[in-house]
Amino acid sequence: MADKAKKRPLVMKQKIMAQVVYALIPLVVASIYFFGWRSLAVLAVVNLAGFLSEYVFARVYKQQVSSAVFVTTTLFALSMPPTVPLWIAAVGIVFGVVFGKMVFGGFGRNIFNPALSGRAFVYVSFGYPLTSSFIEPVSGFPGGFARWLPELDSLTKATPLIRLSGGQDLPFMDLFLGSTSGSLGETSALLIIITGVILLILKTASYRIVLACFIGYLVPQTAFFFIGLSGVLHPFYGLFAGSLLFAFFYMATDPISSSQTTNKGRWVYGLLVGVLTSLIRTFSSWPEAVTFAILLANMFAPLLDYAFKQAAAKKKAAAT
Amino acid sequence: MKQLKTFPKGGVHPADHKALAADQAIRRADPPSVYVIPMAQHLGKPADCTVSSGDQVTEGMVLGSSSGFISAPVHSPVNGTVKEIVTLQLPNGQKTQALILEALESQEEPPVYTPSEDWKNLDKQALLERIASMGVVGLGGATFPAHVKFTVPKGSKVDYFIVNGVECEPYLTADYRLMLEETPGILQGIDVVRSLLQPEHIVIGIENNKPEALRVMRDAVEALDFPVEVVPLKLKYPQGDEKQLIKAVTGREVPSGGLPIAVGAVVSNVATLYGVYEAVVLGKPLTERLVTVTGQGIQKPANLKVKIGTSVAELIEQCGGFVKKPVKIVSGGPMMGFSLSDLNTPVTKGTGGILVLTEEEVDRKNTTACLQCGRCVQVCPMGLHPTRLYKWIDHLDYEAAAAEGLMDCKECGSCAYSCPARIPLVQGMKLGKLMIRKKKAN
Repeated sequence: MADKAKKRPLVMKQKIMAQVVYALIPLVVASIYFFGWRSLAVLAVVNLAGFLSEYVFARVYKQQVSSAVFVTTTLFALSMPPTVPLWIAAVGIVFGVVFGKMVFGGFGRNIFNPALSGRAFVYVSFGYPLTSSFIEPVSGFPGGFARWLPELDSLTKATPLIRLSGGQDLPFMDLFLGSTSGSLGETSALLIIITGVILLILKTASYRIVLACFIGYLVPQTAFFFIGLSGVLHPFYGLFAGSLLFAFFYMATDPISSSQTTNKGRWVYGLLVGVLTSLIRTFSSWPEAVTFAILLANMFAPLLDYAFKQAAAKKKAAAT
Repeated sequence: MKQLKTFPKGGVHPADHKALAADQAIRRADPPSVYVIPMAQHLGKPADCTVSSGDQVTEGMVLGSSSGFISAPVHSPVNGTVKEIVTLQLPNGQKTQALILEALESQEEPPVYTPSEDWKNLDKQALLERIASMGVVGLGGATFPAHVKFTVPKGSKVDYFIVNGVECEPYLTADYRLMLEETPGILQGIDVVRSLLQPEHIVIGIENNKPEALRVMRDAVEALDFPVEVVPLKLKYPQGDEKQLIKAVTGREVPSGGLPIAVGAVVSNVATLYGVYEAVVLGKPLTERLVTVTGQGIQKPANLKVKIGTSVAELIEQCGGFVKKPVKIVSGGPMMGFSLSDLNTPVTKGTGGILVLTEEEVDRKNTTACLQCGRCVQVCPMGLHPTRLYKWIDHLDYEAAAAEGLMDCKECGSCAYSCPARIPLVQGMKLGKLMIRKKKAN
């Protein structure tokens, strides 16, 4: 038995998780184009730190390392700002993997999305270095492929989300294609939509959750906008700014931490994410709304699974 | 184009692999010299053995008699001598008494079966008795005694008699070949059952991946003097399951724990109806059945007419043996069949196929933790919650699983097929159902 355990590969094969990692590759390439080779360094540091944190636990528990950890690390890295100090990125992912996942018992047992747990942790702990120093991405050819980091004289640019809520206008095409400042992998709406839709078609991600997220976000946001609350983001611009698309497609659909076992649960869960995003964006001083919206909705996922299961059982009992 | 019918909830689309054996015409397997005849070849009570060691038997003679209403007799497939009576474990785990039968060298002339119309003068009771006495059981896999199924309870009326030509299990092609090659026999079987059930409608359900069978059956039913409708069904597994087929054809839903007759339907497989034809029209007991021997590991895939009791090893040899290293040999279809651990296992009334599967055909990845993706819930045709049921069973709380519908599980395997974590869900359900049945029996 001991021999057999030794022969097991270190990382278990999980097709679904591998698909998500493949889908993220275009975003990684885009992040290099927009923000230079340093983004790859962030990715490497985060992957290494994340893998090692899970490996330590896997050794103790005599488990295999899950492929899912690479989904977590890549998502986390892409959600970091380009100038993130490498040590902060490492602290974030270690927190995400250890306290977001491994302490609950490892793969399949976590309540919260580990990538978002890590992200929330560093954003709250190191607010200044993470939110004050966004930089303009590189444009034209060869873009960031010839640089380590974009010019530093544009260092103090705020993110589109902060600029928009400050009343500034931004060209839509910049938001859509990604040539605005923002986190590494979250700037190009176009690429996120393409790769996200591929995941929906492969049924790796649930289209119900994604659709419900959008509905949940757009309805209240549009209402707030037309009521004329001050400082409300235009709902349409809001879609393409910040990490909303990235989070709706990649973070909200994480099967483990979301409500996935009933279709009704999926709809309600998605709506919850969307509505919370809109509420936090509008009424709090915090721009990172989606992160908290999804973490909050994660808490309701088991309850939704339970509630709709009970409802189905009751209906069945009534029918017979 | 009109939307084809199918069942509404769940279901999966596994690769069908039917091309391997679909074009192989039925041929008779060479009779072996030794037969193993289990007494439990049907659902219900095993037959009572009526011969003893050293007895001479002749083809068609009763070896075990029916031991109750839900039971069926077992007949000898050959002239021979009873060598030994042993205890045997069948692939489904059931232990049973079995006869070892040696064929005699100097065989007497085997009986000749000629069609006769005399059954038309029999009343229902006598007809049912004839079906029962010939040992006919459901050949689609469930092996439920046919005479029980065709006995309409007092006060019930049959609106739909549904002929099951779906054969939704991947790989298997025996029913398909039977529909192409033995069409008249099937139709006569339908006629016999029609006189028993007096149904309002007769419907033959065939999935649209078998256009040839649809065409042949359509042409054939036109010549009948009673109306039969051939309905093409949209391809989806497990459409061949009784409850799903009823839902697909009639839109009616058999209640949890109920029988099809509760919604005025009776379903019978084409192979069973051919068996009814042989029993009633030819007077031949059920001693042979069609078996698809296929898979990428077998030299020459075939649809064989096999005498019951022939060993799996014998059939594999007659199909040219292995071409690649087999990693798994399955009795039945890949979704619901059982892995064989011993090639001396005999073909019984319930054996529809022998699959010789190679490394590429078998997914042997390790189980990982459940990722709550909900795919099993999406595909369950019974609307169950497989991952929850499995967790209850894993925690040994069988009652809790039963309260959430465990007993409705048909073990169709759709959940396990779609599980990305490779959790052995069906094995769990089987265990849970067994434990519940055991508790009820005590």
